[in-house]
Amino acid sequence: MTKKVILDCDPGHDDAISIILAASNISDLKIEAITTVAGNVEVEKNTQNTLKVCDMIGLTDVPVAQGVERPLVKEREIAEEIHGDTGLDGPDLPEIPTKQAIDQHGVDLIIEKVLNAGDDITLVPTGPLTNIALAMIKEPKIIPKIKEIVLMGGGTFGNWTPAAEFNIYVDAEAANVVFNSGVPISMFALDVTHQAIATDEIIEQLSNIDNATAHFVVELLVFFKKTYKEVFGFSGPPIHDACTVAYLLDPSIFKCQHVRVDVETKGEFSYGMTVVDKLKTTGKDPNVHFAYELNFDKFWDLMTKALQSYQTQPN
Amino acid sequence: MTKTPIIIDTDPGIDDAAAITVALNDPKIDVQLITTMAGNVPVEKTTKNALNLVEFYRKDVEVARGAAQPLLRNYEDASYYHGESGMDGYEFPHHERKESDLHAVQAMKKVFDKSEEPITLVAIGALTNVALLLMEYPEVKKKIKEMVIMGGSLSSGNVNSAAEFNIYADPHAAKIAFQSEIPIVMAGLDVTLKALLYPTSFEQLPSLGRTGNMLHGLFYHYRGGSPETGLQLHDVCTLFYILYPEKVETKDLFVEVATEGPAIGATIADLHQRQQNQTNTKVCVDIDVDFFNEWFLDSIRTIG
Repeated sequence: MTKKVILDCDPGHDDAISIILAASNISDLKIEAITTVAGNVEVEKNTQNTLKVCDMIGLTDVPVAQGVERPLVKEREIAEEIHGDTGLDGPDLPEIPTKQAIDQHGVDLIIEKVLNAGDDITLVPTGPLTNIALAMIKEPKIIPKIKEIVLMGGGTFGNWTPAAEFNIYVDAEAANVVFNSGVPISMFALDVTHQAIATDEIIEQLSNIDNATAHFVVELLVFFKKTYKEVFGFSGPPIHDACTVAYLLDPSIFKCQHVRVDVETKGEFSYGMTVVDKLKTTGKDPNVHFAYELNFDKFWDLMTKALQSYQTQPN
Repeated sequence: MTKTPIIIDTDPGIDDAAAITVALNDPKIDVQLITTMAGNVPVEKTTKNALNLVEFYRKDVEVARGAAQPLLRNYEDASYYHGESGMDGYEFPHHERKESDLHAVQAMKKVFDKSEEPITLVAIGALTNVALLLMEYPEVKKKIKEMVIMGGSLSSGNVNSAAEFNIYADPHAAKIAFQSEIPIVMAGLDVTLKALLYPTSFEQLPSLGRTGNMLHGLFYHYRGGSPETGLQLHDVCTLFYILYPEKVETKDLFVEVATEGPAIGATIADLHQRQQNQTNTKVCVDIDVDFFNEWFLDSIRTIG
């Protein structure tokens, strides 16, 4: 059965790979829309990058709508040191994409799609949660109609501050709205995304796939590898965002624990931290399926098959 | 005569009703849209009340429903002051007038897009719709001439000793509004608690026609002040400022909003202009109360 998804993202290297995985010929996902949000870089750049990726893989019939340009309450913050000036440094991309964004705000497209669907849309946010929170605030009627939220963000440790992961840190207030919404959440945090490393062997394996999309992904990985080595001293880059789509395609890749997760919006040192109640100390009802383990071979096997599937005409 | 085009963002509310009354009927004001939000009472009720008023005056003005809840806080109403309906004290006749199909934010965007001249945004409720508008469509800023808001206080609050109700209701939205760099005129408690409707003015209302009669009914049930000591017409001050800015004393200050702690919702100004080298708000600090009363009664008499 096809699963309907809305990808809400800020491409971003790993966002781009996530889109490519979702749109591949091995995917049973129906991408209803792609919305963009300020995050890795400014929202205008994220939108351009999304459109270029869509051009690249022939995703012509999926509407792309630009979302919010700033967090709900906080000042804007971007992650250029990880993703480069364009947000998608590495591969040579055309200056101007052929595909155009639609003339509707991303928040309104999310609201419209969810309201008009039969409670069967899964939201897949891989950037800050501003669009999703704003959609919930503007039209609370969507909340019971969202099937699930499968997100990349948070962790029991941070990568932007010692306590906070970038996506949640950028807009912790928005994350707080989403985590308290009552919508079922599957969360792919640093705990698990740091297991989705593109090692040198993996990059070499993917380099052997001979089609334009696979080449593009390898170029992304090579750039991403460089920044992750320089900034964090990692031996290979983690493909954070693609964990969300991998989970939707094959949940057996991951082990999850059903736990309570709350978002810190006040702490001096811990703003944006996701507080994961693994030992059930709060006694609060669980709100999140927290992924903690990834089957490395299965994950990269899926990714390899997805890229191989671009040999044939993409869907 | 040049008319000032305005959008009223409101949560009627009895003082809102008085402000809308003046706005819809003053020949120098052109109301292009009324938008509603949860505030004094829930948004279904504030929307119905706004429609009742537009119908009462038989005006061709669109009413669009907005936010049902604040951005981040839980919703708290003020039905103690305004009654269960939000406008207790007058039985509005049944009518078929419908609210807009558009969300308040979309309706505002449409008006801004269509307008060739900048529009004044009269925000007399919680600032949730304004914040949503600025978040989604920051490009409309250049079409907003100024925001004249009822809210805040540089003296003391009316929810607690620090916070005024409209700002307290959605402090995060207020923060977004005050940081927007749109010129703001703040008619807060500093001036609205001075702009009382005198007991003698209140007594005259029933003799001024059906509008006076309607307002007399609402005011009689209103708990913002009392008919004996003077009624607080808070929201009306915004319209008065637009029509007679020379009768209101203002100070240019930099105003911020507390979004945490016991003073959440308080407006704080750089009073001595030592911390900031800029200002973002004209704060109303005094008003010609005699003239305000005369003007209000004249307006109601003219409407009939």
